[in-house]
Amino acid sequence: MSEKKFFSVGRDTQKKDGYAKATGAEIFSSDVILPGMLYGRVLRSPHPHARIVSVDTSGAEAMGAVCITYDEVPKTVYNERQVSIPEKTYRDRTVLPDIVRHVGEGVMAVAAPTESLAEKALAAVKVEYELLPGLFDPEEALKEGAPALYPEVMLGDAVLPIKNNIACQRIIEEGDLAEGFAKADLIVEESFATGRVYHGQMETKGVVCKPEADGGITVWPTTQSIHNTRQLLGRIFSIPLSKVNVHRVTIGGAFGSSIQMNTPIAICVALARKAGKPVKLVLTREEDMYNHCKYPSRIKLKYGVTRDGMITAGQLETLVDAGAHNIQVYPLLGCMAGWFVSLYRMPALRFAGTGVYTNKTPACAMQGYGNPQVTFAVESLMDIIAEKLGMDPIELRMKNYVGMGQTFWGQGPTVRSIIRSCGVEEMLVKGREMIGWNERGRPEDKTGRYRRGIGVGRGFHTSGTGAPQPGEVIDYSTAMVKINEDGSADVSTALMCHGGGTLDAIAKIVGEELGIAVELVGVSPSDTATTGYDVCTHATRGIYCGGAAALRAATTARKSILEIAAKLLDVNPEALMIAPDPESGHGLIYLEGTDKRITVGEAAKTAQLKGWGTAIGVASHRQTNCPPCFVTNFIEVEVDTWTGEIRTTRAVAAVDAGTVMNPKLTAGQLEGGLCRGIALALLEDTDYDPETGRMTCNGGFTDYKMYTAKEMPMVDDLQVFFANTYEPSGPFGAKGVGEAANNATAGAVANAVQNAIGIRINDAPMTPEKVLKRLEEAGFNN
Amino acid sequence: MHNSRIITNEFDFCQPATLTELFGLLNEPGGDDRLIAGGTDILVMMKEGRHCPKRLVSTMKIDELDFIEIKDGVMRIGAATKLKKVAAACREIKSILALHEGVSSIGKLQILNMATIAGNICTASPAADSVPPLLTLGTTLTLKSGDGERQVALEDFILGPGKTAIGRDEIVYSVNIPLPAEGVGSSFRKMERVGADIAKINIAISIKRNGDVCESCKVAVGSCAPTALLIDEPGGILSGQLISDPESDLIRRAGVAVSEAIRPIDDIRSTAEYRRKVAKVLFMDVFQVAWDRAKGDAS
Amino acid sequence: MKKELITLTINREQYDVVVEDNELLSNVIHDTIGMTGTKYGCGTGECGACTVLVNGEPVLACITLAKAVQGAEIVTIEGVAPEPGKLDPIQEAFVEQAAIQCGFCTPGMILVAKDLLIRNPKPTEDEIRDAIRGNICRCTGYTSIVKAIQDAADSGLCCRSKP
Repeated sequence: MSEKKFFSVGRDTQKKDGYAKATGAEIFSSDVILPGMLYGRVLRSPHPHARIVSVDTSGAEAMGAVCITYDEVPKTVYNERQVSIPEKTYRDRTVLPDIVRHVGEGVMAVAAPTESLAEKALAAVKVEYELLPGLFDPEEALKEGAPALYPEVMLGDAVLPIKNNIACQRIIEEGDLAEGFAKADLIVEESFATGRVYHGQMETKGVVCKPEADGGITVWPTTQSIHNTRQLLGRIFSIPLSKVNVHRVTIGGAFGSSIQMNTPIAICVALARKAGKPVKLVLTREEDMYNHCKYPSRIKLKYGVTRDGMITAGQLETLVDAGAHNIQVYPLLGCMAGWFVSLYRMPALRFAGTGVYTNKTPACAMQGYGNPQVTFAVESLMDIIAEKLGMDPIELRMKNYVGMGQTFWGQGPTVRSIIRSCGVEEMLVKGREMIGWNERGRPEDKTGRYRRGIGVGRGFHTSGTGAPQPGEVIDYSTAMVKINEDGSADVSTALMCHGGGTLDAIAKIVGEELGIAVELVGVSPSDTATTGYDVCTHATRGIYCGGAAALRAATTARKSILEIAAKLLDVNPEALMIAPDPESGHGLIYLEGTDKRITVGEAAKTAQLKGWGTAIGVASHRQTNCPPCFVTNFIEVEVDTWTGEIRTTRAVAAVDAGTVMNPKLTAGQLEGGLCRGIALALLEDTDYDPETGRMTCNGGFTDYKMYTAKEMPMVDDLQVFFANTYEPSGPFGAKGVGEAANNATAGAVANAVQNAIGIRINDAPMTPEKVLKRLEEAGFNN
Repeated sequence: MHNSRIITNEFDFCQPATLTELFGLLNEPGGDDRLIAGGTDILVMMKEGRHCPKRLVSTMKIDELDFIEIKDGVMRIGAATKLKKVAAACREIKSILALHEGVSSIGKLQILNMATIAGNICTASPAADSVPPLLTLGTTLTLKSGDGERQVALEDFILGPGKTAIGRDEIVYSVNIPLPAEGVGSSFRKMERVGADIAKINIAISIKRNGDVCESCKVAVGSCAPTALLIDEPGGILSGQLISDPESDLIRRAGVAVSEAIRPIDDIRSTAEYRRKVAKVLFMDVFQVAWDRAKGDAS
Repeated sequence: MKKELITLTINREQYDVVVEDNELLSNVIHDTIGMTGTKYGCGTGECGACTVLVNGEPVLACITLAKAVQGAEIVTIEGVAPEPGKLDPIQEAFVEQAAIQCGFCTPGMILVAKDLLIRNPKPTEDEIRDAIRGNICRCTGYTSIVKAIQDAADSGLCCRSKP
């Protein structure tokens, strides 16, 4: 229910970077070319765990290559991720290591005038390793006597001894658990797993670094946070931040892969500083796949419910295989607890999570940050409970969901807020009609080789990590808005757009406030030297948090231009309004009921000529809330009971994003999230060979498969809609969308599969091989 | 870790314009030549360091190798004919629709525009999608060298993964497909993880039908042994049989025979167990389609 | 290793470039010539981000040797728009349908779509999905891309202009 009619917000407008991206003109970081630039390459460990005894670079240096080794780079122990406060940041890595802890970890690096020469130089480097035993199974890693990846790491400024390879642990309890389960008529417990999925962003991570004459550096990286990249580089290389300038460059997909300051960035900076020349370092696909992955999950989930379907208690235990570095397991565990707590009300609950080091590719955030994993388990178990109670799964959800006026944990236990907008019921009611829920039938009544089933999955994500008080996670944004002398405006912010239209939304918010068309709002190129701090474009916070800062900056600029106009029109500024001219889009400032009017441009120009200054606004703002953007998926699958193959035949995807900024882009977020969510359920995982420590897919797209256009439902079979809500704390009523889009999907798929064939599969991905085995066990014959 | 952005090993790249020129190159003493056609497999293998030839000799500029002709009931396809052209030509001939389906399913549009029929065969991948249909059709290859030419049956040509019976100075000149007589229907099916993938398992069938009698039935399965396999058992079970129902137990029995005849392994794309289980299903699927096609009222 | 001066015809213009025998078309276009619309996504011919048209047909530049396409007409994404400031109907449709998110797969998608609509001005949805099956998009889930290609086909403006 929009509280206001908007002229710009909520309309489909052309994406500002559309022309450049459609013509190939858009410059991504892998496209940055500087005069005299060298190409960097990193020597990568073939071993999962080894001490580097010696590195002989003489052969490479004889070829004229610039080489860096562990001995020559700063030893600052750091964590790639800079979002948590220092006291909650686990630090376990250096620019280059003395011990490699996973296959593909960088050992040393070279730079040469061409990539081909750099590659030749790499081949001439000799490394002597002392092999150490590798650990690939998190449960093995926990055992007494298992080899240790780290004797100790840093937590904040303190040394933290590591025991049993435990990276960190969190136990969160509320209410009386024993009493809660005692009140239950039914207790259900199941185990769930999801895969070690790869981000698969189309542009591999990369960076260009130019050393400056004054000892500073200029950097063009793939990143979701230019300011955190700058801060970390400043700290590692002991350069004042005023001499570290990090540019915002278009990124070819993120999905969390660049929340942190990725390791190639620091390596590239070290190379460039040694070479005294710009260096470009772009990962190959194989290197990229060995760089990061999604957190896999093993979850044991237990709910107690009464006969009429009210949850009395819940318990979630999880073991997180962090891989070789603890990038963000501590906040992840908190968030997983938060996702669990915020899906369905529980009078008593317990969360216990353990993160374990193994000699595998380090896991990091990927769309949803533990949420798709938790929601897969919770939504599956909801259906199991509904079936046991003989209750419609939608009814069970309606009874228990966390909604309006209730408390929501947006970022773990320290970030709590009250829900003030909620479209859950609307989405469930409308979605069930659209998919034909009542005709979905029971699995036992279905016959034939191909069987269809429909499943529902709910979910949500936080919009940012804001809270009334400072927490474990930093969250604020800065924006500057200035009105130009022709009536156009510029907005400057360090936010990133990962493709979903965040910066378009920022422009709309500014235009809406200034009363000018979005086409007249320019989004300034951005770097750390000219923008105020913005924590990171992550946690689905771009529009809600970044947009709120932009709105405040625009409000100040608006006030300023109205004061100028008021002087010129000789009226009280408070009485003036601005509306866009429908033809030109220019803002017209007017006093209602009179002929007193002046365009925004005229006012700005006159102010300039008279020397009154520029109408400008700057805001650095922290949201005190992080409202949930709710999602609901209804999915129909078709199972080939002879081969175990599962096809997604129809889907309805809905989001409660508050005010939708740009409908087509929002629909695109939902469609893309659905695609990745289905892949989490059915397709994607990376497996490791315990002998070699290598991925069995070898790190390439030949054997790491992502969905193509062939696997997604036809255009008419995929419907998207938006709940009609308004978030009072959001800019023009908006909340986030991004990560929420894939959170509900895997559970909906599992529920649909169950509805089709009567078989419940709890360990994703549900490959044809796995499904066929389960079909046979259940007595199906091909 | 290899660099998939570039090819690191150095080689001479030769693009002869005629067969004479080509054989001249191949006959140069001491050469470490590797023939390259579309390059869609070999260049990837070179990036991965799995091949490091000193010289790459391309067949792509030799116009004499780019042809499709039908003469005396045999379709001859020049070695360097691109897959897209092959797929289009086969679409027009009902009895070899399996070959159209197999070739069209190789990789993706771009690959069809680059890769050649001889390249798909000579790479000798157990999963090559053109090979099962070609095997069921009794395909032979004409090999040429500076000294002459010889004919070899396709099943004798592919020896194992990456291994063929080609001589050092020889090339595949043409792929020769005897066009089936009336009453033959064929079909191909491929199981893959996602679109544009390498087959987990692929299968082709060619059936000669006379009314409701199956006169003969040839089946080949790929990606289930070191080479694609021609499997005789279904022919033995079905030849001369009256097929009252293409989903009958008889067909199922023939499918089981296919499952038993293959020698699959576990790999990144699937498992031996799964391949065995679905081979039967795929057989039943392609049988039904080919059976209908052989009747003549379906295309 | 020996270097050789070759001439490539890209977007109707001739480029003299010095290449080695093992150089790939993708790197010559992107790094040597500096047309950065041709992207590296996987290097193994799997993702389609490096797609260019050679003699009108989409091919994968990351597995094409530069010397192999001497004398051919090469079109990259930079050569699709009819003139600066204007878009081809397919590009227009991609922008209108919000079929572009991060934009990294977009050049390859548009070139494949261009070829498809020239060959088949009224493709079915299945034919569209089949044509783009070799182009991975991690952002959109493909719905908007399929819609954009349908829109461009419906406009009837695409098949006329060969790039």
